[in-house]
Formats: sequence, structure tokens, C-alpha cells
Amino acid sequence: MKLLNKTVQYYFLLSVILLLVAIPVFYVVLKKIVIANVDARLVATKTQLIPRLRVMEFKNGEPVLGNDITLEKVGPNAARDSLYTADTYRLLTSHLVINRETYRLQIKSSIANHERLITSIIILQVLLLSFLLAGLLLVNRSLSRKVWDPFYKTLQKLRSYKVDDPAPLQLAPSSVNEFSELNTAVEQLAERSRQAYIAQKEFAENASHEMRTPLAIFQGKLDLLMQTNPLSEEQAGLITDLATASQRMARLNKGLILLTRIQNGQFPETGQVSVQQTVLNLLEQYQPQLQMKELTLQQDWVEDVTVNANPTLMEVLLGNLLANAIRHNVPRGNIIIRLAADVLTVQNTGQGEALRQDRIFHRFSKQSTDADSMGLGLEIVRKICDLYGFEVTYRFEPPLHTFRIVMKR
Amino acid sequence: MKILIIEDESALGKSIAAYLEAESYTCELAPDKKTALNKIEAFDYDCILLDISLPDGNGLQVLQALKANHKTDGVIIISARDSIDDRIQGLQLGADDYLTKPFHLSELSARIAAVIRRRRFAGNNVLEAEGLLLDPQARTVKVGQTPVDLTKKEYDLLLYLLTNRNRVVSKQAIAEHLSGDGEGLFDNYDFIYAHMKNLKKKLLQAGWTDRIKAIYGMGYKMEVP
Repeated sequence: MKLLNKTVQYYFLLSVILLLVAIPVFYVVLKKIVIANVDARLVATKTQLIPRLRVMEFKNGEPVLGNDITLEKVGPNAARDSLYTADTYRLLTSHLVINRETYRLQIKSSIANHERLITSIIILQVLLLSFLLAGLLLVNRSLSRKVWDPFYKTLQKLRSYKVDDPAPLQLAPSSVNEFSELNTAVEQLAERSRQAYIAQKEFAENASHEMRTPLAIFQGKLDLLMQTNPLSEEQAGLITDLATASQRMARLNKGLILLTRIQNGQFPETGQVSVQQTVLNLLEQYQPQLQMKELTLQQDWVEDVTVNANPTLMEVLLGNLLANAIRHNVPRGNIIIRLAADVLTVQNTGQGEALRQDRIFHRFSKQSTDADSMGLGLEIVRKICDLYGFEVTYRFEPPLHTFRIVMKR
Repeated sequence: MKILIIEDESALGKSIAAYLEAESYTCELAPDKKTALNKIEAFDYDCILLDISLPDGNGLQVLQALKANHKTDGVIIISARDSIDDRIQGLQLGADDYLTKPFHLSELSARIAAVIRRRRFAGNNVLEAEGLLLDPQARTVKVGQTPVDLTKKEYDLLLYLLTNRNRVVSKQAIAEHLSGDGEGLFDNYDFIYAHMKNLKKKLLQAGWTDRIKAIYGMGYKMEVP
């Protein structure tokens, strides 16, 4: 629930309760006032009437004094004056003694008119209060929206913020203290993470570069070691293993630097790249490896896709996918390549189990025992896809491992 | 042939010198920019190997100095940095080639040979080994008078072995040399055997005595007395 609605909800609840309590109270109070008023008038009438009655001569029984006043002779019981409501009337009953006779005087006053008045007033009051309440709610709503606007703006900026953005996070200034404090805190947090990210990136880059010189020394000495004479078969075997390890180190280094470079956006030049042509060129290049494993290649070129991308990166992306399909294949296995409707599918036979979805595109999460693979290939694939907004997915449909890339033109 | 090695890592500089001196190059070492500038002013070299990151400055300044002095020495940049920008900058300043560390000494040697061929002989020197004639300009191979028809890979392989004659060339170096940019995806060197087998067969058929020897599983060596 929105904070806005939450606060408004409380306001609303309070207002309704107040209204429900206030209206009956108001009614009762109003009625009391009216009755007191009527009573006062009745008493006043009585006070005016009594002197007149005392001097009045009574002929023909009880005199008729008016519609609202009755006088009748009663037994000698001197009850006290009483005021009560009967039907829509207010009655004042009083006993008085005239000429040694006890009379009961009754004065009545209609309160029906007053009741109507009270009802009208209450209705008006309810309407007025409801309008006031609705108005308050509306004002509160629009005001809150206005007041919370900087907050929503901050939220929106945070949502689109990435730690690898080249520019620091800039939030709109707010005149509300709370929001400007929040913005400052968020900006500082974002800046700290950005600095940490940059530092880490630079470290990875520097470490990779610094590693190259000792690697070069190592490889150079190995090359010299190979030239030594005499060289036994045992020594040659050791040197070969060392050379292979050194090659792998060099390759790993290259992969890491490539990753850093993709993250740094150091491939700004783009051009129109034909996916079909690139794949065909790569297949030509991998011909020896294909033949070596006696793989059957099935190609299905329905519709070529031309993407606007860096040609080198496209080559790396497609090369990694194809090389994986070859490397992790079984001898005499199959590779199926299909390009249609902006989707490139590379399928290959291989190990009988699916690769783990959650780890497949992460670096160094090798899931094969093949020493060739260094665990960077698919991470590079994903990074390049991220860069160009492609979508890469993996699925295992026995016996085929399937990689799909949905490309945006 | 005189080579100047401008490299601050003495271990690497010495390795390069040791490898090249065995190929009858004369090598001089310059561990910093100051020494390098002094040397290029005083002498002419057939090829200069230039490391860009030097303790007392940028190696590209050496290139600029060469250009300013109208020297025609061939230059190969050997650098730990390999971004396209670095390459373009180096090549624009007049470097002939750009090699990224780490590299195989046999690869370096082949690149030096190519630079020297282009610079000194305008590409017109035919490589010869026991009756085998390889013309880098025309990209043709003959044994005596018999032309040998080689595929691109076989030709590259032969040229590589010829420029590194009497040296053991590791199969890693050959694989990297042959596959160029596509290298790095396979550790399988089996495809070299296939190319090597075909190359040897074609040369034998043309009447050449096979001088290419496999050195255990390590690599190959073309032995030409």
C-alpha cells in the first residue's frame, strides 16, 4: 500500500468516526436547547396567565382560554408543577388554587416545527461536514503527491542506476529537508559503490596487465629451454606440460582483459555485422577441429540477421558459442546451427546431463573436466549480449544442449 | 643483422637476445629510454624491439625520435597493452608491427625476419634451405625447379619453420601462429599434425629431403646445416 493511501486512510477513518459521534451529540444538544427554550416560554406563559386567572370569574365551569391552554377543576391534591413531552407537544402541568378550588392548568406548545428545524440543521451539517471531509481528502491527496514527488523521482533514478554507469548518480534537489537528506545519503552511497567498483575494475585490469610481463619471461625461458642440447624425452615431456600451462595462463589473461574491456565499454566502434557471414567465416576457421572430432554439421539459414555491433566482439561472441559446441561435443557428434527471425540457435550433442542454469554464465564455473575450457567463455558471451541488449538462454533437450541468442536489429 | 632490444625487464631482454643471437643476429640491450635514445642516435639497426612502458618514459617517444631523425630502422613494439587504440597509436607513429606480451620467441623471430625482409630487401629475398626455395613476395615454393602447390596454412607453416630454422618451435607457438586471431579457443594441437603431414608429403613428392623433425611431443625443428 502506498504511504500516501496509508496516511489518508487514517485521516479518513478519524473523520468518519468524528462525524458519526458528532452528529448524534449535536442532535441531542440541539434538541435539549430547543426544549429548554420551549419550556422557558411555557413557564413565562404560565407566569403571565396566573394573575389573570386569579381575577377571572368562573362561569359555566371551566373557561376556555385558547387551544393550547386548558384549565380544569381537580381534587385537592397539590402536586408540583411538571414538564413533559407528549406526542409532538411539550406540556406544562401546574396546579393552582382559585377561590378555594384546586385547578389543574395545562399549557402545551408544539415542538413539531422545532423537530423539523433540527432535522434540517442536522442534514445541512452532515452535508457540510461531508463536503469538508471530501475536500480535505482531495487537497491532502494532491498535496501529498506534490510533496512526495522528489521521493518518486529519486526512486526512479535509483531504479535505472547501474554501478558501472560512467557518470555519478545525480538526484534532483528538493526543498524538503528529509528528501534532500535522503538524496544526499543515496548519492554518497552510490558514489562509494561506484568508486569501489572502479577500483576493483582497475585492479583486475592492472593485475591482468602486470601479469603479462612475467608470463612473457616465463614463455621466453621455456622457448630457450627447448633449444638446449642434449634434451631427453623426459625433459621434453616436462617442458611440453609447462608450455601448455603457460599457454593457458596467457589465454586466461587474454580472456580477463577482454572481459574488463567489454565492461569498460572499450569497443565503441560499431558497424553492420552479418551474423550468417560471421558464423560461416568462423566455421571455416574451425574446420580442422570439426574434422578432428568427425562432427556432423547441420546448417539452417532461414534469414540472415544484420546487427549493429562491434565486429570483433561479434566474432568473439559467436566464436565462443561455436567453439563450445565443438569442444564439449562427443566424437562423431552433431552440431545444428539455425538462424531465423533474429534468433540464432546453436545445438550440440555432449554430456548427458544439463548444465546448471544458475551458474552457466558465471566466470570460472566450469562444468566439464576438459582442460581446454577456462571458464570464461560463456561469461564473455553474456557480457557481450548484455552490451548489445541480446538475450542468451540455455536449454537442455536430450541429447542436445541448446544455446539461443535473440538479437535486436 | 643488428637488433636493438629496448626492454626494462632484463630477464625478458636477455631471453630475446639469447634466442636471436643463435640465429646470427647481433643484439644490443637498452633497459631504459635514455640508453635507447643514445643508441639509436649513434647506430643504425635493422630492427628495434620496443617496449612501450619504460621506467623513464613512454617508448613511443623513442619512435618519435626515430621519425624525427629520419631513421629507417624497422620497429616492432612489444607491449603488455594490447587495446586497439594502443596498436593504432603505435602503428601510426611508424612501427612496423605490434606484438603483445606474452609471445613465443619463435613468433618474434618470424616477425623480425618479415620486417627485415620488407625493409632491407623490399621483400625480394628468397629463402633457401637445401634446394627448397620460398619466395615471400610471390608466396611461391619450389624445390629446385619443381613448384610445390601448398595451401595457405601449409605455406605459413613452412615459412614459420624456415625463419626459425635449426630451432625447436613448440606446437603451441605453431598453433598460435597458424590460427591467428581465432587462437585461444582450442588447446587441441592435433590439427597441426594434419597440416604437417600434408606439407611433408608435398615437399617429399617434389624431391626435397625431409629436414623437418618432430622433437618428441614438444614441437618441430627444421634442421638445415
